[in-house]
Amino acid sequence: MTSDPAALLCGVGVQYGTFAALTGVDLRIDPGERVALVGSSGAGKSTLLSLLAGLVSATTGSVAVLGSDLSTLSGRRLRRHRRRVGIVPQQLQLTGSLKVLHNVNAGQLGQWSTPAALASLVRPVGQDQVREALRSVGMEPWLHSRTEELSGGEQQRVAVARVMRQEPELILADEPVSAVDPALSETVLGCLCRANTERRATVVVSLHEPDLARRFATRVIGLRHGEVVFDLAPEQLGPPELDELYKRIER
Amino acid sequence: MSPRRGGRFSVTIAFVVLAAAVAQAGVSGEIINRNGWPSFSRFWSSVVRPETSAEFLRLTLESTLITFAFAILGTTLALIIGAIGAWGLSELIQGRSRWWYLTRAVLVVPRAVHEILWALMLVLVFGVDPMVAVLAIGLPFGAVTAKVFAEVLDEADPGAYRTLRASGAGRFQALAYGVLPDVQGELLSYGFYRLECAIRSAAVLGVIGVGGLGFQLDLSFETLRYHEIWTLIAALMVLSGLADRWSSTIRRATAPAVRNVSLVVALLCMPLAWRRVGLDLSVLWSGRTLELGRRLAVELVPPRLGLGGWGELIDASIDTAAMSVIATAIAVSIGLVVGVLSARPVRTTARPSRAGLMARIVPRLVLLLARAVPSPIWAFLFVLILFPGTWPGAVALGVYNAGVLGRLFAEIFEERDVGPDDALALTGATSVQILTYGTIPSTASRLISVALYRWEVILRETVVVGVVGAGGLGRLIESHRAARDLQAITGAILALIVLSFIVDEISHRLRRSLTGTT
Repeated sequence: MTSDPAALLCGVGVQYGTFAALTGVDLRIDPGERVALVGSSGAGKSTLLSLLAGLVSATTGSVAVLGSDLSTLSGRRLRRHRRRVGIVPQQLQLTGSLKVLHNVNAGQLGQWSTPAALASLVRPVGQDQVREALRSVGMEPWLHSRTEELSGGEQQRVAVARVMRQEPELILADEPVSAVDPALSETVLGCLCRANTERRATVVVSLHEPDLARRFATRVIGLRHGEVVFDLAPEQLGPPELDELYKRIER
Repeated sequence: MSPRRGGRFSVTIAFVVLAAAVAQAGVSGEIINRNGWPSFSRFWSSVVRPETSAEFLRLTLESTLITFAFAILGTTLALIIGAIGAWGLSELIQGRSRWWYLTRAVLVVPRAVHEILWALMLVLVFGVDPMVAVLAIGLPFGAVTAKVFAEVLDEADPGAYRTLRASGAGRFQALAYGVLPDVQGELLSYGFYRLECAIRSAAVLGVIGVGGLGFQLDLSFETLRYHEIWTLIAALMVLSGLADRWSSTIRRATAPAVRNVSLVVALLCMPLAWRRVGLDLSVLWSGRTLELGRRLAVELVPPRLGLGGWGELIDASIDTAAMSVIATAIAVSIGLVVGVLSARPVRTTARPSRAGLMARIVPRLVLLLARAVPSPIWAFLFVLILFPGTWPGAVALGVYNAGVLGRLFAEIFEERDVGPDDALALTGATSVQILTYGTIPSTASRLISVALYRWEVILRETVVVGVVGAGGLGRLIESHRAARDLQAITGAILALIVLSFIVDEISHRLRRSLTGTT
């Protein structure tokens, strides 16, 4: 595995029209870290994750992910980079009319040739790995279900299974347990944890509940109004920091 | 401006435009030709005694199969072009790259030129060969299909595609896993809708000599054998009716099995159709084709004005525009009334009429007759009683498109949300009140949108009736063709393309304002 930082951000700002989603973010995430992003809605968690995924680009500053500046990559090299990054988007982005099996296998598309990908829709390959990925999030019985028939929480777990199937070096998950009940949240986060401990994957997760973040992560980053307000080990995270994070705007 | 005022404003404009079109077409006494009445009525009275000799029935069956075979082969080509074109036309796949611009530019021309013009040009290269019909249907339909397929891809939720791309999938892979599974039904239904259109188109193309039902219709018409015509029309109605039914069953089917079985059946028809018309691909690159093609290309450019100069071209363009407006007005009026009558009652507490299946069969047959008979044949018929000019063309296109619109209107009525109608029924409203306060207003935007889209199609179809002598650019093109002045044809086609752009743009803006983005 490379010794490059998993992510390196210098003076990054992201502007949506007149709205500053992120301002002046300097951040280094090393390989093997397990990072939780916390903050209220609109604090910039999703923007930060989208930035690392290459789905939005920085208005100012520089972003390097797994040692590559995304703005300089294209074609084959971009694709090679992308297969090393796995994403669990907030809106899941599964294909509703495909079986769960194929949606999980879609994690492998970066590795597969196009004919192989098409053939697999007819005669699925890698069923054992798919089963294993689904088992890790408690979704194995739904292997052959149509994805759109599942509940929101179930679909969320399928999206996590897809990333498990991909086995990327960097996992970016945007609130992966927002629709999952508390007991299953533990399972899903545990699964991301194992990817981190067993395969040394770097994991960056945004979470709504600071308590989950404290138990899950090795590092907790607090965001407010697009700025980093703290960057701590979980045991250092106490009520003062959380008050700071969630306090209302007094103006 | 409030939406209500906006609505009234649009209606006023529509009537002003229609009045101008009618004035342009002329409303003096010199419209109706009384001398044609005997033939006209003889045509209609022959309906009770269609030709039923075994020999003629065999010929009819043969011609029906040929028309169907042309439609199948033309649709196949259209879908191939459509799939390739959609890859280049989809913004999701291409972004706004130079490929995207290039594909758009390349596909504009085949879409703007009507099938019959394609056929007229292709006949000059291939002679009367089945390839003419296949290409004449496949090229313009392929360009439209590419546009529609690309729109379907672009309107689908792009999230899954983008996510897969961001995790390293190639464009085609991301499409296959992220978009196609969700839209394949829609694409396939559209393919069958194209087949339905191709059947009507194949019948029209027959009129210029490539064979099939249209060809036989033309022969029987010119030899005044009206009994035969009704046999052929019956065959067209059966063919067209079955295709319409097939296509609408697929469109409404919720189970994918219906689509899959249909696809297999259509694929099996392919080689049979190929054999039936004796299609030979080698004509595409034979020496004679290349030579004639080269000569045609040289003769077609540069475009220039005909002998009548700008005045003639502009007059013909205005006539064409007027013809399209009048035809649309006729099609909408007839289509709306007959469409309402033919719509299956939707389950509602209202029960507007107790009329059963029988009461709907007559309006349905009327609509089917209207659209099964190719518009040039309608034009032949109306030229008997209307002096040549804008009117016979406008009436012919109006009647033909009433058949198409009536069916689409009926589908819209059948698929509407019946909530508002139910609420009205509970107040004790009569069926006409429910229609005017519930059904029509709640479906109005879709009805108008379909009608405006039809106007775009009608403008292009004016060429078809023009070719048989009704007025406008079509007649101009036909007279240039008779004089083999190909450069003037190109000039007239360019005028038609410009005109269709203008109409498309107006229609597009009106349709967009309907969806409430204003």
